[in-house]
Amino acid sequence: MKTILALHHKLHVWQQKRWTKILFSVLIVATVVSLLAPTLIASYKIHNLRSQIYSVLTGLDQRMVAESIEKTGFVELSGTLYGDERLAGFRILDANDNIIDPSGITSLILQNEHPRWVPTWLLQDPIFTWSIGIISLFFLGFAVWTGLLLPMLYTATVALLGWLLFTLIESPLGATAIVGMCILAFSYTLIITILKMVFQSPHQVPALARGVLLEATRTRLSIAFVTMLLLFLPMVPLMLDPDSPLRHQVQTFLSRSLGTTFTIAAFLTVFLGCATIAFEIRDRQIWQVLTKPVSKMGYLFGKWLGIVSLNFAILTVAGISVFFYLQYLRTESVADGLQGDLDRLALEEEVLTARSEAFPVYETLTSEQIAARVEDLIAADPELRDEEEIQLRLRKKLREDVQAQYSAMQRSIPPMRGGQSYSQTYLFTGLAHAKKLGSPLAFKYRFHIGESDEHETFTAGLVYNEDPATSHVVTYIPTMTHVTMIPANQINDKGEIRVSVFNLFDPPAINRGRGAMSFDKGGIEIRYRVGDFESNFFRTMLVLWIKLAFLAALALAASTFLSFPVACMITLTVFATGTLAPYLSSSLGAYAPPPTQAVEWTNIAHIIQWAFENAISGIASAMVFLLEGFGAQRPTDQLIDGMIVSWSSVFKGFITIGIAWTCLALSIGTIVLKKRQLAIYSGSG
Amino acid sequence: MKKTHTNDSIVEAVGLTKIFKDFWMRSKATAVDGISFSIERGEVFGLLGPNGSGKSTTIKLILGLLNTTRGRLTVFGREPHDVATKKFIGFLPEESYLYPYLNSLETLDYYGRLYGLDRKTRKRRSEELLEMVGLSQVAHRHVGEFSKGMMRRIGLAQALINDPEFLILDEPTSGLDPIGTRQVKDLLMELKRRGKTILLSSHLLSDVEDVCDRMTILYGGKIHAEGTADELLIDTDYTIIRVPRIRNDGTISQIEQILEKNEQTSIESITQPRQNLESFFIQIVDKAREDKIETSGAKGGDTAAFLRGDEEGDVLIDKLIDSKEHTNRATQEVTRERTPSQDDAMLDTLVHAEEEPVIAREAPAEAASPTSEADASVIEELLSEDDKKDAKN
Repeated sequence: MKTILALHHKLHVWQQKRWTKILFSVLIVATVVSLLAPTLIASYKIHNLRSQIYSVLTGLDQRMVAESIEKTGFVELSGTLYGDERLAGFRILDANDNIIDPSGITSLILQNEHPRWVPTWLLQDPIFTWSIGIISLFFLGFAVWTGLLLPMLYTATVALLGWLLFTLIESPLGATAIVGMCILAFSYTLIITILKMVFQSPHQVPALARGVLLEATRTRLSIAFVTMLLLFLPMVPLMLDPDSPLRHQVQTFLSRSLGTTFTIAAFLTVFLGCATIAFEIRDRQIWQVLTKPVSKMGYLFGKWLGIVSLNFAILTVAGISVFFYLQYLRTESVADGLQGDLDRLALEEEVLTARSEAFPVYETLTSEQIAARVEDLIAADPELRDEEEIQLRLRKKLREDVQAQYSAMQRSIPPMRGGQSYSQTYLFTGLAHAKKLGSPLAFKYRFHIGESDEHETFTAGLVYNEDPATSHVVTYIPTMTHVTMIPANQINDKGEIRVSVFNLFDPPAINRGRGAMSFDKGGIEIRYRVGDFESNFFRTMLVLWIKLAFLAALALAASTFLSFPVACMITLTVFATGTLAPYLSSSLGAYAPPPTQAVEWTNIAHIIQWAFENAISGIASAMVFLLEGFGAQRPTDQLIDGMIVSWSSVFKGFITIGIAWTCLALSIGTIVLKKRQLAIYSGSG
Repeated sequence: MKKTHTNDSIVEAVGLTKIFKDFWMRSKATAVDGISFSIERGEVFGLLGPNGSGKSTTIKLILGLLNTTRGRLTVFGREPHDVATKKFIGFLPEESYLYPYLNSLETLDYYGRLYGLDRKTRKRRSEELLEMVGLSQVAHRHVGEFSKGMMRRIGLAQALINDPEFLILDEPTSGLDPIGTRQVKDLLMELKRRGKTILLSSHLLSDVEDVCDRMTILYGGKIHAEGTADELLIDTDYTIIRVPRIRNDGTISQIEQILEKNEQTSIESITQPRQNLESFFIQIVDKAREDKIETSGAKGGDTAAFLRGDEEGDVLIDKLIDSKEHTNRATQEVTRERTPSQDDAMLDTLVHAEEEPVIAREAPAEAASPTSEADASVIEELLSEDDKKDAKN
């Protein structure tokens, strides 16, 4: 043991020498360049081929090209054939003789052009390949020059041994997991070291931030959470079902990895935020700090900055590893045949993308029409008819009911009767960008019919722009969500599309009145691509970071006047409430505490129940009002669904959560600290 | 003699009162009750009192860790909570409350950053301070693994990292061995020589007596005595004459006759002086060090260069100042051993004897004042008697 320690000490001294650093830097550059150069060449080649094939598939001769693919599975380009015989036999032209999904078809054609010696995911885009090379260079260079060469070598040794071990026992996923753990652990260490260097400035705020980073890397509380994350993340791929469709695997991977990362980071933020101040007050270390030239605001801000930096490190490590693994996962093999191809198309078009949604434009009644209907209702109701004066509140309720009924009527389609089918046509607007991109649209629908029995299936007809040539039948299960693709060429020049939905259910005579097909508001929508997955992923991580920043401020503020366990409890309660606020909001809409008029004031049990339920309702409403904005930001769900996390939502989150709420929490904490006599703790001076 | 407030006061307290209240805002305890004092620039001010007398509370009020209930308190002419004043203050609390996961170097580096010191200065001062407090061998050991004595040493080091103008020390020698105690005293004298202002709180009277210029004695939150050591402790009713050992009993008789004749008094007691245990202890350790005997304990070093003023530009100036001032530490001897219980008893005697504050108190019979002035005429007579005897022989 002594020999090992002595050797370690010698190596540690050796790695600090300048010539050692220079030597290793040269080695790293040479290695990276020698690997990067051929990879880049291959990447550029694939990229150029992709551009050429895509332009052929979207050019004037696309019909001929499509027929060639349908016949042979290949396309000719400059005398060379590209494609796969498995593509033969598939019709890829739509009714207007346009190729349905040119970018998807291009990817399928180029499948066989990827060289075997380099992972496919590395060749997706030359810019991506460059990024990998440059990141690797900086990563390894920083490790050498920040004195982490020896830990890097140790980690590499452990990773290699672990990989060999798991390979010997024929567990490739285990081998990948162990290598992943080592890479993550080292990356985390490297980023923390860089952050500590960033906070080198001899001023109070950076010094305090740096102190928090040291605390996070040396106290058991923080180490436990970080270790949990770094061990769990590489094991997520082991939890995927390889037999499920690839797009489901990707969605599961995204959901579990990002969800777990955020949850662990949130708990770490709460516990560390509460501990760093509550324990300092309890153990009186705060006396030593605040008797230095450190303002209360500076103290809190420095602590907050430290925790935010720690979250940055965690999200960066987790985010990069998730992203890179995703690039690998997306190139995994799919099922044979059409099912597999559709799976890959769905993956690229519905998951690894950034889509926006358009809802149908419903007609609304004018004020005069509403007023007339309200009068009709009053006239038809014997109780209301004789009232001399109908209260304003009642009239308002009647107007809302009239509007809701009209809206519901538009979302309901009667069943077939005497061989006649009924339909409703819905107008979707704002699709000009989708038309420009040319990617197919996803028509998402969830219908209710009859008793909405999930064990039954029904049929519906869809027609686009009232063109019978576009009609097709879809099968659906009530209350379940379904998706069907609509070619982008169905969008007219104004960026609009009309979708007619036919109810093809013909109920038996005894059930004549019960076959209407309906859907909720938001039950049908069109989703279309507006951006790429990569920037969407980046924005998702940004929003998560902003939410954690607010959580940190909340934890710090709570711990200025509460003990550690109580501060944790309060902060976690606020966090949970904020996260669940959207669900709470919709639940409150259905929750009706007993009205005051219905209380029997002589019955104590009634009074207690009334008071209790109204108090709960009031508190919940207040919490929803305050925190709904926090819960409304759900970037992970949007990312998994392939929906866009827009810059405007990021900016809105930054302003409200990141600045306004965070500043409010820190301000409260500052005021409390200023008022508080720190030399009194639990009454002792 | 009470010191009047001057414009050169670092700390001024007028009618300072602190009452601790409970949750319902009812008064629970009066820790400090209407005290008024000032600490002048460049002096070492002692704050004495038994446990619970209000010493630590007073310090916490000065540092802004507590709010005053009544009265006025200023530090460097500003409110105690003013952040700007903290730049010039170094504080060593009663216990060292440090981060257990930082090592010694990191601890000093951290606090140095809070003072805004640049990297070079922090590095140099940290190394010098660790050398000074004898912790340079454990510079990379985490503070959480330190013994109490080591914690006090690192606590002292962090209080000095900014070379403070005003140093507040609460029980600085608590947990230190006599060597460490001696080193702290030497350090305080060094800082005093450099014109630093020091507030020293302790119930170990020997520590305070040796270094303080002025002291205040608290009891029950009130000041019961205040003044310089001489003002408070000199017993003008007695004279001590120090001579080499008298081997001839007849000499004693002659001395007694002279005293009876001239002073109408007699010798109350004749004893041989006793070296105090602290000095003896230090002698033994110093000899062992000279003999280079191995030890795993902390070995303090010289006062850090920056505290001596040996940083750039200060050396020449201090040498010029040093040539005018001359502190003769070596001639002072403490001839009586004291223990904490005796200190408390003495304090009790001091504070309970009279209702109003007094300047001086009667000292116990064994007290020996090393620098008492002798009656010149009696000495001359004694010497002339000896000369006559020698001449006869």
